[in-house]
Amino acid sequence: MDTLRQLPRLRSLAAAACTLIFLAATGHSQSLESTLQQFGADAVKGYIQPAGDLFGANMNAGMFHSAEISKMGFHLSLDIIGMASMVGDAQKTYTANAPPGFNPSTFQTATIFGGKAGVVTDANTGFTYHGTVDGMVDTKFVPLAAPQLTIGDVYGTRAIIRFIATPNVDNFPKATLWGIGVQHSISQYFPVIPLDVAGHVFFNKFTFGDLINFSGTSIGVEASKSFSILRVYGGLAWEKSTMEVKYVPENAAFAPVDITMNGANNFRATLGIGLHIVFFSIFADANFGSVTNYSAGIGFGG
Amino acid sequence: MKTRFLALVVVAVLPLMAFNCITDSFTIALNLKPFNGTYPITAGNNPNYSGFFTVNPDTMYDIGSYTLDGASVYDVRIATSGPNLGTCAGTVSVNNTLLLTYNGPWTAFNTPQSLLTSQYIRRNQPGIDVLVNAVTKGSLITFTVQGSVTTTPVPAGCSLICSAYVQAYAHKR
Repeated sequence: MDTLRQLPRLRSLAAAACTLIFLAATGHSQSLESTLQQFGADAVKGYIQPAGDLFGANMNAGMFHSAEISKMGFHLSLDIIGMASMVGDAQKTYTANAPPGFNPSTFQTATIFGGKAGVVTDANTGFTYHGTVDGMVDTKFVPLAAPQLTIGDVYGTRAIIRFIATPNVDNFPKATLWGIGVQHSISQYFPVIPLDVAGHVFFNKFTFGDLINFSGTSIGVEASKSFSILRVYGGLAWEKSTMEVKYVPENAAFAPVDITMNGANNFRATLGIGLHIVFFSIFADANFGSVTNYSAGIGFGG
Repeated sequence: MKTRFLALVVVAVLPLMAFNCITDSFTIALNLKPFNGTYPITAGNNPNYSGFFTVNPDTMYDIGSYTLDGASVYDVRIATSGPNLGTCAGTVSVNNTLLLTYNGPWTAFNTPQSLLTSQYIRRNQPGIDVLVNAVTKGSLITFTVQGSVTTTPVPAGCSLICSAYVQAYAHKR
């Protein structure tokens, strides 16, 4: 009930999250969309692959910060979660193909997070060929934020729901993020275990107009231990994320683009810490895998 | 109040830390549609042929969205279509400046020969420069082909195809 009384405040936070995801997902999107439409699938794939890697890692982050689930009881909490995947040097360049006949046949050029596009010079003729486009985003991390509702507990199980949408505003396409999952207590079957242990399955999806379609799946186990108001948690998860990019290039010489890229992260280890005071909690965790990712948030309810 | 304050901090700080770093001044390398010209060779006993085609480079990209900063030629290919006519040899000029010379077996040119790899084509750098300047300035480009074959009579349907591949560097308007 306390959670329900806090709804007006929660709306403020939900608005904050809406603003964040709007800025993160659609800021300057018109530039990106019209820029991508200049190129065929080969050129675009390497350029935006790191965006898929990092965004995919974000999508699969932050869905749990406790494994403590009662067998039967009422639980309702609303969390505002921010995620950030770090942009490393590996995400700033990729190996692109030079035109047929060029020597060398490949060269390094900038991804969406890189600097100036690379240039390759043909050893035989001196002809030059430039990488697709300079990096468009100069950032140390890729953020994402979303509200998350957790409802339970029924037979030691909680449902996890994420949803946020931004409307089609001016030329910015509609963006929608939603996710759904369950977390089930494992430790309820093994009362002797001194930790709370749970498993989770989570699926989420992000669409950005007709251009980009992300989906992510995470399956894992997590454990937590509370010490008064302090909670320590961690987990291991297998995950998969895919990014589908679909558009018709403005240059008629290129075929319509419909490519699906897999995110780099397939496994993650999570270590986190949180404070839980009555109906308020804060938490933060670090996630290690192919992509280093952090998530943190505040929660209401319990 | 605390919640509102926190919301303000979240809204204000996170975007500032990250995606305000999106740059507007990036350069795009536009692969223009190939400048393709097909030159029919008149059927009969005349071994010589010539022709021209004109391209407006401004029609090769969205001129309303981009401003060109430069261009480069990254290949020119010569191909022939039709049965063996012996050896074909000739020149391709751009705006009256020699771009390349070609000289080789007709059948070899049945597979497009690239300036990058073919032993049958020789480029002329001043012609490349003229082509690059014309694309950058958006002026009309006229490709002129002249040549001859060694085997006659020429049957109907033979032609020579010239394709120039140009990349233009642009920024968003």
